[in-house]
Amino acid sequence: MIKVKFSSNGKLREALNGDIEVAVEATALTLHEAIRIVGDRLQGEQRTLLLDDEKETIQEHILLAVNDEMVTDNESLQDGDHIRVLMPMAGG
Amino acid sequence: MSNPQSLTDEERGRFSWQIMMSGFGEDSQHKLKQSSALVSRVGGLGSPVALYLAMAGIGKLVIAHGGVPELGHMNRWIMSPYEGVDKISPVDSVIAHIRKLNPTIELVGVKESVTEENAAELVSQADIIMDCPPYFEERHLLNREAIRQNKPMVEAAVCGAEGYLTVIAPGETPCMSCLGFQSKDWELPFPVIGAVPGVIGSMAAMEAVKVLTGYGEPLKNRLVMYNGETAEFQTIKLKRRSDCEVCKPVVVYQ
Ligand SMILES: [Zn+2]
Repeated sequence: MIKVKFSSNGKLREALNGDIEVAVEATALTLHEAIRIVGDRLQGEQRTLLLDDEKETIQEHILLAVNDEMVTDNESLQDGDHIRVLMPMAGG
Repeated sequence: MSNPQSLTDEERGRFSWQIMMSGFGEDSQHKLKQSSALVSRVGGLGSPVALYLAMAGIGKLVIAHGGVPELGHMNRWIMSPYEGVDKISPVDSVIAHIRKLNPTIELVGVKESVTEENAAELVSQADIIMDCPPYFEERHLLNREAIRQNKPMVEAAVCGAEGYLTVIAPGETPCMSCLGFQSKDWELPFPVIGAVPGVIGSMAAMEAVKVLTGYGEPLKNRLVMYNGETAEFQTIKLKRRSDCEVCKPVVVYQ
């Protein structure tokens, strides 16, 4: 079992009602897989905040971090890792 | 005859409370006096940036902002007066306000926001770029131009009760494009409470002071995220994207 914490900001954080935990019965888990699991909890516009279903990828313009270090989505996760997804903003 | 490069007695007195800071001193104050910053837009975020840079004693500010304030801006455009809504350029308001606080600063007002046409000229006028507009397009124009001219940029943005900032140093740190900062869904108006750009703008001004003077450790290769709802800060370590089309290779502007 691998359990990771998932934090986000902005509309995504609202859609998920704050931080969530992702638990998977597996011996290996990538960031991409974990984000897909989170995205599958969402529907419609909220889902597209995280996933691009046309390209079958994670949305291109979000910053991904694990344990507060920027990573790419092929990062391997360990039990207890903390994923942080940063939605870009441009308000001034 | 006084040396324009050195501090006057009046400046020593005016900035004495920061000159007395350990690790700052007259040397940093002098560097600040010789420095300049471009503040791209002086709305919620750019206003505290311009204000605190001016009050810290920066030598010159270039303030670029097209248009006039709207009623809905009045929760955060701290230097634009209410009677100026729909009428008075924020460039005029900010210059008038800052002039009263710092009578010796050089102020250059440009009543245009950043465009493809003016970006190179605006960036060329300053030592550091303060990126505060509410559009990704303007932010990326400045990012591209700052990289091209090899100038540091403080990237700061807000939305809702959240904001973030990082220092972009060409060749040393990721740029906006490396970080993927873009959104096709971004639109105005965006939700915001004025104190949030106040927090992030003040931090951005502090980062500029550090970059310009060598004081402290500028926020390079790190991004600070502020959540005003929970009063929490997070720091994320950043890295450059080796295939970034904007910042690799770095071409030094001649
Ligand atoms: Zn880059």
